[in-house]
Amino acid sequence: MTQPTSKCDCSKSAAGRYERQLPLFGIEGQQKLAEASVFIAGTGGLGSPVATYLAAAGVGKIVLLDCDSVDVTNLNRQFLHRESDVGRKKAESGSEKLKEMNSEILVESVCGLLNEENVKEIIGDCQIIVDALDNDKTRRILAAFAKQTKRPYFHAAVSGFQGQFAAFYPEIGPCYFCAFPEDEDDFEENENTSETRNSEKKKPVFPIVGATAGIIGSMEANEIIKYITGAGKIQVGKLFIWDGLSCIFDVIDIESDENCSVCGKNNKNDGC
Amino acid sequence: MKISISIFGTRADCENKADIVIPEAATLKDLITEFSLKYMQDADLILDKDGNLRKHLIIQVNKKRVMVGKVAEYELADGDEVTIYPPVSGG
Repeated sequence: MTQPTSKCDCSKSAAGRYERQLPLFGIEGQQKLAEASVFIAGTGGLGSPVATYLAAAGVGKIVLLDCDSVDVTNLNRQFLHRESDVGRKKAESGSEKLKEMNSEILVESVCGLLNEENVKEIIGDCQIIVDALDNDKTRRILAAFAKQTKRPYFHAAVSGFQGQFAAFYPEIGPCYFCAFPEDEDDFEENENTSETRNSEKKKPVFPIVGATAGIIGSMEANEIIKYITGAGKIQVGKLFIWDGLSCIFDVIDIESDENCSVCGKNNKNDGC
Repeated sequence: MKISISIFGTRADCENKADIVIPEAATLKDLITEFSLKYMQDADLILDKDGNLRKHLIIQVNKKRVMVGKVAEYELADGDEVTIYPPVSGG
């Protein structure tokens, strides 16, 4: 994949705005951030910390996607949005906050649903794909597109005091479908049997404390910054699961599956 | 044989750990099913309406993952430690 031509020269602002992070990855790393383009699917509990920290770090282009409008019940965790934003499109509200935070970066908003027909057009030339979604069906569309177009895919999900994070890279390690091989039907059924189902909106809702999304979303942002700048070692084939009630992380090894429906060598479709 | 089984980060309305004595020939599926039905108040977190394990569970035996499709044939050994991670999908 060719990288978009950078329109951002971070050298002037680096000594000021980015001074505290330059010792970590230098002006070269800062310039990589300025040249990076990140697509964030979801502008809610996970999208708020991910987008905020990437914008603050100086990621040159951020595209926010969300089909929903801000609801008062979002405000316990979705800190990109304010009371005055209730009723507004989340992607537009979030985009506005990021621009206020960092006027040197480009922020775009897309208010709509992602599907197999529009995923290519919506993601466009964004190099990095971030999952801050609330449903497995769209995750699979996003993850499949990331694998097919050889882009890194950063996955996160939360519920209650629990959350999980994993990064999937195009040239190394397992893909999302190696980790979560089953179709979404079972998953959606499980979600809908929850006592927390919202019968009026016909959309499953889940209990969540804002800090859970903050922890997992921050982890996601951290790995993206590492990946872009080359700082540290990226985590390949690891699923991090957070239990906020016990305050512990478990790390699960994810292995490449030779029978994986997307990347498996035994897969006749050769989906990759 | 005696097996330790726990549920990671789960809702507060179910027990999250137990030591269970099961027959020598019992499989991982047998163990999880028994644990869900006898020890959990919310067994549908683990089992579907037909009594099958939910596909999106992540299961580890002695810190090594066992895919849900393999649990019916996975034979346990005395002292094994089983951890179940319920699915998470919200954002």
